[in-house]
Amino acid sequence: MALQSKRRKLKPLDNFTSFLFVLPAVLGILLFTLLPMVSSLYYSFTEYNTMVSASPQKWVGLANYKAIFTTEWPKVGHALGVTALYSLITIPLYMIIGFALALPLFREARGVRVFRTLVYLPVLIPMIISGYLWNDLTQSYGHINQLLVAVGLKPYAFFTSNDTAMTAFILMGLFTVGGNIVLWVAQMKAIPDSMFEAAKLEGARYPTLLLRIIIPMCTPMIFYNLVLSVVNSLQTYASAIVVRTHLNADALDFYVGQVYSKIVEMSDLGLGSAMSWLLFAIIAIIAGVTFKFNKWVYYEEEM
Amino acid sequence: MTAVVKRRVVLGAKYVVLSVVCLLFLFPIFVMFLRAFTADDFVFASVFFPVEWSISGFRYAVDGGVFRLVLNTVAVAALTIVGTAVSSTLCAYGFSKVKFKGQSVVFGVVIATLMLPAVCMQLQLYSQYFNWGWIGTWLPLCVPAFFGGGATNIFLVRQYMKSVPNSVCEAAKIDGANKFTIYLRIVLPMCMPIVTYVMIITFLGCWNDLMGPLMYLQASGSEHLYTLSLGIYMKSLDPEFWQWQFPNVQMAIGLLMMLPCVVLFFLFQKNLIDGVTMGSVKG
Repeated sequence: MALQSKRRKLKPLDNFTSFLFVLPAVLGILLFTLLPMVSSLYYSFTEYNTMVSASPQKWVGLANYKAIFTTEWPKVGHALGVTALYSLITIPLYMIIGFALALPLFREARGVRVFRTLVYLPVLIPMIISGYLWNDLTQSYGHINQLLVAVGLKPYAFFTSNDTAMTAFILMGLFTVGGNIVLWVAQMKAIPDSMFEAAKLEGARYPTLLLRIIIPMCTPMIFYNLVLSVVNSLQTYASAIVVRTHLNADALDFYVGQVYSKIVEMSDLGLGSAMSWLLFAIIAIIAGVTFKFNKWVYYEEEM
Repeated sequence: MTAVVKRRVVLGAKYVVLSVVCLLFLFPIFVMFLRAFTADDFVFASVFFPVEWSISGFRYAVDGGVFRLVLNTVAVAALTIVGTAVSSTLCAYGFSKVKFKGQSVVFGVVIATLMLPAVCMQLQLYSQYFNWGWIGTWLPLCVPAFFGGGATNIFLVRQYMKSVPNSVCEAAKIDGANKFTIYLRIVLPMCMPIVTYVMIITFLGCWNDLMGPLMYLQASGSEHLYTLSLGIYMKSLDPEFWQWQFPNVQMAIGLLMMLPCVVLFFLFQKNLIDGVTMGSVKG
């Protein structure tokens, strides 16, 4: 009895010391997530150019948002179009290719481990270097055009023209699909062998296994991958900065690039913040819709 | 008999296709090697193998100050790794081995931040760092790591810590150990595999980071602080370092920059792949 009351007295202190362990994360969220979100939301309703003065010049209400859809629209709309085009093509493309390449790689067999490693290697090329590498590979004198000419094809313009730059950029991104393959393989490996054995006893052939077992069992990964690729591809920018030149500036005009130049290069935090919030809203809506329609995802156990 | 033959043909075809795919994926890396060792006079020649082999690409890289960039990047990475390892394990311990009021709510909020679009957040952080006078310093790259070390890492370490038996902690408690001692002496040593993973992934993230330095470090007067990615980018635009526009210099730097990543990947392949999949499949 005495012990119990003693423990009860200690409780508030105990509670507090336990909380101290997670204090870094709590402060981190307040300082580096909540505070910047609130302040940038506030700045998005102001005129704020850091070249003029260190604090916002004046409250302008919705003027920045209005400007996005009126005076700035030719540029913003174009960038949104480029970003949307890139996302619409690459999300299904990278997913299907990643999935297809994971299929022969998920069962342990001789050499499979080596193949998995080799396919992953290009992911280790740093982003900045990959830009220079692909810039060099795709020049008229570059190795890819040498090979195209060698097999009797015409050289391709790749990054040197607005018409072909997007294709080249998508091709460049294809080489980092290894990161995706690792995830698919892990998901496929989690499928119990007994399922395949039972299906084989019933006389099922490979297409049936694929459609009735592998794909349904991979739906959690399809969903995870879908959400992740939507968020990532809408924020594409850094991987394009090296390969984007005056020759293809229109074709690789990604939305984040415009926000970056507004904020960092032009010091226009008012309009820049509004533009970043527009992207935030677009991502939130698309991700939200994806979550809403996830009835097709199979979960082994309820979380 | 025919069934066996058929199976062998299918298996053979599978290996052929896989080999072709792998050759395709290795092609860019192969070309990196060829370009890095091409002599200056032939970098724009349309030939598959270098007409003349040379290490002048590496020499220009060294003369242009690539080691300074390496040193800066190592310093930033070291600070970030320390911050991430310490704070993510502390928080993970707080979410798994001790109890406090509102724990599940706080954990929910931490996990919710996983959903936030990263680049959007970086753009919104710019004005804050600007007002704090942090632009052009390493602070935006290192300090946030000390505040939780990222929701993914907290989540991963927490999952791992949950597998440490509570009876071990209870025993230590009865022996008079306080919560911090249990964390430091018992739980942390048992979590080294996942902490290793977190440290490696943090290193790779810092080493290759382009967007962070591009946003927060690229200010006049802070050239001496540039990290590898930003330094390479800025120097290749700078007429003073005109050699850095040459593919042989760029690919020489590229090989140097890739080397630690490849070494770490091969040393910790299992940790890395397990960690990546733990964050997605089981999460």
